[in-house]
Amino acid sequence: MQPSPEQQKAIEQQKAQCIFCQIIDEKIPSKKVYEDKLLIGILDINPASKGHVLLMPKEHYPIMPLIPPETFKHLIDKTKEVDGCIKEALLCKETTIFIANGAAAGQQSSHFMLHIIPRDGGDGLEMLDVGGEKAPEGEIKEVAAKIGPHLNAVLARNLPALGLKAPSGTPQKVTKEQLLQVIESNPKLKEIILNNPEQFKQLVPKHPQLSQLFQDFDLDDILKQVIQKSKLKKPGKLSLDEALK
Amino acid sequence: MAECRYCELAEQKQNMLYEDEIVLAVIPEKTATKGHVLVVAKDHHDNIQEIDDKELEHIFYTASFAATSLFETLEAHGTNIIAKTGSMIKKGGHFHIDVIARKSDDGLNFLWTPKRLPEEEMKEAQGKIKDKCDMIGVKKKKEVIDLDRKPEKLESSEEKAPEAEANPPAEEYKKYKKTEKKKAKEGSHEDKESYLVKQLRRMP
Repeated sequence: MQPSPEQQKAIEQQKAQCIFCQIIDEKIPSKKVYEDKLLIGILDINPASKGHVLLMPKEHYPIMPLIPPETFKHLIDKTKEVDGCIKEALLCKETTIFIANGAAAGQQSSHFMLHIIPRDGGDGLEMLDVGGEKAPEGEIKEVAAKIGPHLNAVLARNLPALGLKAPSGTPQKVTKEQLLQVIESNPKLKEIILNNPEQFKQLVPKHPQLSQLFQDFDLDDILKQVIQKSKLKKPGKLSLDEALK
Repeated sequence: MAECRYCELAEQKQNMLYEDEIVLAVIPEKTATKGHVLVVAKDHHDNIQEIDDKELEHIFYTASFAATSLFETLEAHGTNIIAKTGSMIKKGGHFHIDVIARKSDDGLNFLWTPKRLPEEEMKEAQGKIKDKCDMIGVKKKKEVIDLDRKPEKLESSEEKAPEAEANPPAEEYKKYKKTEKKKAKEGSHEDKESYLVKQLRRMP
């Protein structure tokens, strides 16, 4: 996920006021437990339980989807190791990893961090044990139709960049609505289509992923609809803006 | 694992959103909000420490992109990513990650009541965890312990940190830090302080 220039500006403003950036610069004292070139791990001063560690990239990223691949990999590898250390040090068998992306999810600081919270039976932290209610069948279908194609497209595009295996086998067949949705949620793709539809038409057969995505559709028809849609609708506010607040 | 419901789920593939060799993303039977994705490792691991680095990266990367999808297709205001790392509390193991779309007014709350631990207890926890963490990266090298060697300075933790892979980003980070310091000098100081006060008061 790439931030837009406007979002980038908001991130820069956040950085200037970020208490965790100051902790990382050692302008504010903290209880450090781990540090390397990219990451720092400190104790939460208001812990959920004893040994509650905040592991975060030193660079200021507001939410997990904005962390670049190299840092992401490193963060996950070290999460496993630091988590193992917490368990050994406190003789604890279980922890909960908790991440909040955005204030609506309970994120209290604009600096991305990963909480590692030591757990014990009957510790009063049951709110962290995710539960839920049986969702109506219609809702599941509706949500799946929205998320499924998008998730498949972004993972097929991004897993190889991480040196990870992209899915083998044939991708799910997409409907026309889903294809339009994919274009709609991909600003770069949309921009190319809107600015230069002719060039885009030539590009599709040469590009393996695009040609696969568009193979079952009339390209002219799709492009027409995308262009029409953009004329009808003023650009909506990206929900990421909400998360960056 | 015969009686693991996540193994079952990985086979049934009900309400599946995504699948590859390593993971499966499905909509779980019971959802916390409209927009709840369950990322399940295909292999059964009771404990996060059993999972190979590459596999774990793959699982978390899938969860992170599930969060991206929730932001972009459901216009979520926020997302939670929650995972249990062991199998002690309820429901058995099998590593999985819940990714949950949030709206400002969804009435859900995962946040705990912060504890105030006595300073000695905090220091004790810090000391114990740091001692273990200081061994990260050192263990791998299998160095012969030289008892005659003088003890290393505490500040050397940076040198002990894992090398190679982290190098290029670290260079960039240094550059960024330099420019950032310049900016900070020009920038406003009063804002920082008010944010600090806010942080200290933070209570969910």
